[in-house]
Amino acid sequence: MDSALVVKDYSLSQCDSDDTKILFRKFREVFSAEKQVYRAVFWIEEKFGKFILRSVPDIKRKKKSEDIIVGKVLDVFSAKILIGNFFAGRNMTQIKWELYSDFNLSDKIEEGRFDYKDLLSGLELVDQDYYAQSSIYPKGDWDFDGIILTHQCPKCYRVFDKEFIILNPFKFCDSCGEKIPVGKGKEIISRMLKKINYFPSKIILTNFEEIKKRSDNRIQLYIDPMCNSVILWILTSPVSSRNPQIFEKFVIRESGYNYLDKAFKSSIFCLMSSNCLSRDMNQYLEEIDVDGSIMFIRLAKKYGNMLKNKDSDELLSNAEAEKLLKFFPHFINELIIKA
Amino acid sequence: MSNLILGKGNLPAIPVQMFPVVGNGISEKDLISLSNLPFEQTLNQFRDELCAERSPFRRCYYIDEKKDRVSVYYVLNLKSGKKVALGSTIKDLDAIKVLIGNSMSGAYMTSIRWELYEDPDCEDLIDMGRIDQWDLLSDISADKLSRLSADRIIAPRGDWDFDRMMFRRRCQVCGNETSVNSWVFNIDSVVCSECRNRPFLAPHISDQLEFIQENMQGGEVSDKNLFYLFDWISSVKGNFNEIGDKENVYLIENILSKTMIGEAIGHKPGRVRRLVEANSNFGFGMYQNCCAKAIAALRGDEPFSEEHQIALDFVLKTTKMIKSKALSTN
Repeated sequence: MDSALVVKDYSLSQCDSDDTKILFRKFREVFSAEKQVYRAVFWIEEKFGKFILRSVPDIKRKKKSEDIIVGKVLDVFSAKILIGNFFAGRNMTQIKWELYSDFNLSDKIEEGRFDYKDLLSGLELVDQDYYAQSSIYPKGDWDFDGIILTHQCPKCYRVFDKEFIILNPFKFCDSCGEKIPVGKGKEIISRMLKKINYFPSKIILTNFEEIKKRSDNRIQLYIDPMCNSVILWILTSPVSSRNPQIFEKFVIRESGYNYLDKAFKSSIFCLMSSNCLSRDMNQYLEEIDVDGSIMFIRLAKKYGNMLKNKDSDELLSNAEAEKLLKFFPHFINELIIKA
Repeated sequence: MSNLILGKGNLPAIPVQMFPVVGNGISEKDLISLSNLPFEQTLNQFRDELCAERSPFRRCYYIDEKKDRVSVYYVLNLKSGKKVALGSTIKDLDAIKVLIGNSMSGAYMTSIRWELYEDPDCEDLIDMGRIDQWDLLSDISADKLSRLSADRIIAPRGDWDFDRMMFRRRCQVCGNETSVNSWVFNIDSVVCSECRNRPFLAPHISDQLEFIQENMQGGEVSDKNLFYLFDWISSVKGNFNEIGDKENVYLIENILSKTMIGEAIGHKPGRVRRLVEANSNFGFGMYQNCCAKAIAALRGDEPFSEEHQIALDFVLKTTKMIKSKALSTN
């Protein structure tokens, strides 16, 4: 009997090289649930043998009606599927989910990353059919890290890039050897911006204690692959005129996603252009073993200010854009491996 | 759609279809699907994308039990407690769901879900789901529904197409009422089952024909508009007899006779022969045969096949090339 669910033929496990496996394993470690700063909280209410899954928008709430009902579930496994459905179509790389069994959120059942490995863990094929009969199965876009968006060739639909974690749209596809057409590149970036701007701030809680604890090493907040991919593309693509403000005016507003702020704030350029970049962090970044990292740090302020300054009409030169394209994907890879 | 994991689920089984989900008054074998998936899976994919878990809006209802009956209320404002009575029915969840469905009949509810509670504060949930016939009627058996209906307790009534997936149009030729599921099928492929007119395509083709006729300069037809028309008709495997009344057929034949394609298959192909031979390496015979093949399909003399589509593409492209070459050499 066929399973009710089909895990798409495309997955990172298909990547054959050890380097790729290490890189993506490290990626999951860096953004593992224990290290996440933001969290989405859910709890299951049991009543007369029925289970109801609710999302918590505010921990200090007083009534159940202040929570958001996600749906009726059968058990913890089905609750995890519904949690995935609830956030489908969004960028959830920096957010973890927590599942509790009581209103006071004192009894945690489970927590994990937003990816199919954590959300479908422990689920057998037979169980999947059982849940599917109750209309509980993954619905919508479960590509929470944008891995498919950044690593699937829009022409041949196979693995586009086995080397880097972020999208390098000017690279030749590892499978078919073709480049991403300019229009397709713009479409991919628009879809990424949609996912990033979908950030559901109302139902995401911030773990301030965790932020304080890791104030010295907060690199994880700035290496979100989707956000960095967007910023890299904008700074280097001829379509965006290599100026974020022009891009924002003429490209993003057309498609309705009229801000880059969220992508910028989670990109390494935001950290680099920060005035309060600590000496330790500066040193840490300079120690990254990629040719040109020192040059990059010098230039980063310029890129960051271009992104920050709404009236900037500065453009990146061709040489600068090329250097950035060659260097930046390696740099992000190294940051993830060393984080 | 970049779904990592796809659900293969089909539509939930329901005892009664509140509206014909494929369409009504149309020839089903002529329909062209917008996706490669079977009908049920395509429809289910839409339902999954717009599932209740992610609905941004909700309609809250609660029940008030009185002896063996329940009153159902719709909560207008949760804070102020303002409510509207929906009606009363027997103490049965299925009957309440039908009542909720009936209360919204005719409305467009795609991004809204229903939630039913036990109390006015909307604390204790009884059930919830999408506002569509599959969620509201999935738990009720056919027997129970007919019993409820026979006992005059409740029956689903009204227009339950809450997603506005059905496009409806009266056939311009025979007046037959037609409808089609626009989520799944290309509406231009709809053919009236009574008279074989295309109720969705024909009015637009009529407008285009009028436009072409009004803009004919010195008896010359603008290729751009006519080719666009041919492309449009062929994309849904249509023919001239399916685009309205006989006046339209006469009009399009009249326009066709004034074009290079019409001349090539007409009685006096001499001018076109000279043009083709002077401006291309294709022989006139090939061009003429392809024109005849394509026009045979467009006139409905032969059923539209891939061969006809290739012939039409060739004719449209070659004609364009020959005309532009002829213009530049003159």
